[in-house]
Amino acid sequence: MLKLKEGFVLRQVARETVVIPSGNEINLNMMITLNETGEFLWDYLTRGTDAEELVAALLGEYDVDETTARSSVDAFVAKLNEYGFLQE
Amino acid sequence: MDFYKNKEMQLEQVLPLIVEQLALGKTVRFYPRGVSMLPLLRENIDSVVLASVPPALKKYDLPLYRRDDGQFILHRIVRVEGDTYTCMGDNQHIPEPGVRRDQMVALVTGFYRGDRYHRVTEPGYAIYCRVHCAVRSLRHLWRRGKNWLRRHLA
Repeated sequence: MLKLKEGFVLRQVARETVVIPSGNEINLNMMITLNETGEFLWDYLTRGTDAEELVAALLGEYDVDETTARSSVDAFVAKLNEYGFLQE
Repeated sequence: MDFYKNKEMQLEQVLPLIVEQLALGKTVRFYPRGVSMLPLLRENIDSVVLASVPPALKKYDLPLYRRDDGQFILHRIVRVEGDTYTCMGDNQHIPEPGVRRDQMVALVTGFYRGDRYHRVTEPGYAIYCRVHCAVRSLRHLWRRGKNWLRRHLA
């Protein structure tokens, strides 16, 4: 199960979509700037999903092959884990 | 296929966000760049926690301020002169006088040395500030002397 921790919000900063924590401290070095595809996946992650659903969503929305979609999702999930954005 | 950008945002770009968050009473953590605050802050290793600027700033405070050319600076106040401040990095010996209150963006309330957090209210930090500032001239003389010797005796 891939689900974002509570307390992260999307914000427009300098014409970029960034993820920031809504808690009492903002760590500028832990901000991720999402592109359009990242924003698309963010909705899934907010309500809870898994890697298979993310891959399927990408295949349904974008012109991409499954291998690329899967490796990209894995890399994205790894990044979110590294930044501590996902629930255990 | 990427979903995020690795590019780092400049302070200039996130300034509105910083100002907004500080006004809400929140704190902002970031990694300062450069060597001017050595030995306290090591680039890419140590980070600072910023809060909103209090009504009065005092000697040894560590504010983030913005020069008139737009550059952001994190240097220590070494002298308060009425409405202006003289600031200087811990690793520098040339002061920057005339920093105005309206240039102040935020104030450091704590810092991470590696993973360990320190508040600026800790006695050890107060001692560091006073001792470091007191021996700054001696340190500068020592460094110049060493360089002179190296040049003339090598």
